[in-house]
Amino acid sequence: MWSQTLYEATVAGGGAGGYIAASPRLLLPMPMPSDALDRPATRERLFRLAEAGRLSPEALERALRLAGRLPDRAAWRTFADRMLLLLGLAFLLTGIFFFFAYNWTSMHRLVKLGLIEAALAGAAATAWVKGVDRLAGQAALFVASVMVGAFLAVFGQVYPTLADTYQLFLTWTALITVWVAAGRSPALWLLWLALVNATIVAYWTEVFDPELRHPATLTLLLFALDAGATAAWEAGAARGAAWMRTRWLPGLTATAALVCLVLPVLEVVSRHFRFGGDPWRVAAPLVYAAAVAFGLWFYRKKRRDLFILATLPVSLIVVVTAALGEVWGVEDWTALLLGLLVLAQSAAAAAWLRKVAREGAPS
Amino acid sequence: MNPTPPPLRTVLSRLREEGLLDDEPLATAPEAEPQSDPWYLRVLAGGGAWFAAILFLVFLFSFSAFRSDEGMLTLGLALLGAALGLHRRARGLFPEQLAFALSLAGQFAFLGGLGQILDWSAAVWALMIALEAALLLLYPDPLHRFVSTLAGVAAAAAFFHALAVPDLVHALVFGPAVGSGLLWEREARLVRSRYAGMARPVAYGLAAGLLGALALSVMPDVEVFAVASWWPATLGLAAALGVLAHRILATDTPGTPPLARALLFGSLLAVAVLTREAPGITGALFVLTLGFHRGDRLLMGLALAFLAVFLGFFYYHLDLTLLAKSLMLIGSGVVLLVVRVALRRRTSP
Repeated sequence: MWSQTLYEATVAGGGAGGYIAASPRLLLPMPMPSDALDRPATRERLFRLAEAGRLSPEALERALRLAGRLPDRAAWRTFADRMLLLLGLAFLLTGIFFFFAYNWTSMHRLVKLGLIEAALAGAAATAWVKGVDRLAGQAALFVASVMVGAFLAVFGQVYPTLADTYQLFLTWTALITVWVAAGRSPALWLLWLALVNATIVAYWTEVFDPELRHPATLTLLLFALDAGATAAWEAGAARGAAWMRTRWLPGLTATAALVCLVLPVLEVVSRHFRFGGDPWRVAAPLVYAAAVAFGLWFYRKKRRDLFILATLPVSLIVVVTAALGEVWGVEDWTALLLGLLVLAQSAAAAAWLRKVAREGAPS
Repeated sequence: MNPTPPPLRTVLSRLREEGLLDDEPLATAPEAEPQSDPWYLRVLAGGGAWFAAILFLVFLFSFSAFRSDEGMLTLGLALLGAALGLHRRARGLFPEQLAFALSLAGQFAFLGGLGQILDWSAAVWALMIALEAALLLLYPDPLHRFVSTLAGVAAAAAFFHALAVPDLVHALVFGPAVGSGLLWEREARLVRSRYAGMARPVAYGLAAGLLGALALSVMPDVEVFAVASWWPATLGLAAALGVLAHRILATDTPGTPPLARALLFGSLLAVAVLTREAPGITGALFVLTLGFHRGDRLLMGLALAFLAVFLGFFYYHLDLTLLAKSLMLIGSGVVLLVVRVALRRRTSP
């Protein structure tokens, strides 16, 4: 079938072995039964039976439901409950934001601050009452954390303090740190990490010595921050923290870290490989090579994550193609050659990732 | 949904107990194991082919013979022929990727040549729709079929625009919604038909095309489809969502109390009425519900990502005041939260 989760692609992956998916991308070892009938009833296997004429359409539909591939009443109840809460809150908050934007200039400063404080207090109280172990409590704490930033921004407008933007981000980060630590929520951690990134960028552009200011230094610093966050998450997950089982967050932070590292490398490439005596420009390709090598090893041998593994060869394709394009130029026959190379690289990357998906889980 | 399915033996035994399966098939299970790729591998393959196609065109257009209108058209047809021939014989990822890239380059060149010759009239886009329909049949690759479906929806949008009847955009929204819904709903029935390999890619393509068409509603500055009002599109989507909800209540959650049903349909109607000028909200809810109904996380992720982007662009939508947009969203949010509280009270043990 055209779109399956990796879970199904890998659990369905042959007789040599199989995996239990703790999440759709994270694979844990599971012995694969030799008898085909003892293998998990994945969507693909059930469709294969139907294609072979062993299941009627009605039987296939029922089998998908029995196998938990289609939602039952309990799943619908949970889904409806979560979506009504999350979409309801999203629409409400967006609407409130639009309302503020509409009335902004005509509002008295105390009304502005009062409304935001009321929203902040309401959200924090809701989080307290519901508890951060429940979705409603986590959502309320996230809203409260966002409202802290809104309050600081409006306060800075109403009573100009001539503070730099980085101070706003830094104060915001500091004020919500306790909530983030207590919240045990991936979304809150992502907000916190984004604020730290924003603080560094703002400090860099507003305060840092222009003589020392260089884009490669900034992106390498952001790489270190996001890679460190990814490592911290992996360490927490390895220690069994239940709320750290989710894989979308390390996928996002690892991708952000990789982008921050590829940018200075591309800058070096675009300067026709001239480093200009800048040690950061020299460091960028070296750190990039080391990071890619470590990432390929770690996410293949230690903690199998195909999404993060896929981002590494993609970055290599970008860097190699850009480097060859810089050397050869992109015209006439070199364009044809580059096109063929892009295809060869992407085909090789896809073949390798398929192979990794099918091989045994890390010991 | 349970991440670890039970063994095939258990599921097949239950089917036999329920009279949906004869004894004989239990003796064997398919030996050849099915394989498929996660979405990001498809993106990797598709992205590589797109980029290569552009580089191929840079190379081919360096020859003056291919820069004329007729030359471009001939080149497009030749590339498409080569792609189809190569794909039939392709064994391995590289030739498959090459065929895909040649097909994309061929479609670009064909469109460029045809557009120049026919002065970008409606006929150009009608022919592109026909070309994509032919490729759906002739090029049996899931990713290519997805791209062809999406390209077909885009060509239909350009066709309606060239006809200078902006209100046809409502059909561009309603058509893919109905098509996608029907294909997902009949997924099991189509499995043994001759169109089995086409159903999923086309269903994905139509869902993505629907969301793409809805993006037009928050781009009034582009003036491509400057319709007087978007409520007909919202009405069509609300009807499609209502039918889908009715179907779900019948198949997935039979026995749902009448009051809970009334609350759900009432909230859908209220949100549709409140956001009638923002069809992206009802459209995203439709795709999200469809994705959960068919157990497809990719479809759900697509809907949620679209909703986030839609709300961002909605802020800059100039046809409505910020106050109107604000009341629309606050009203919808309150409706959903009130319905949640009411449902929890009614359904809690």
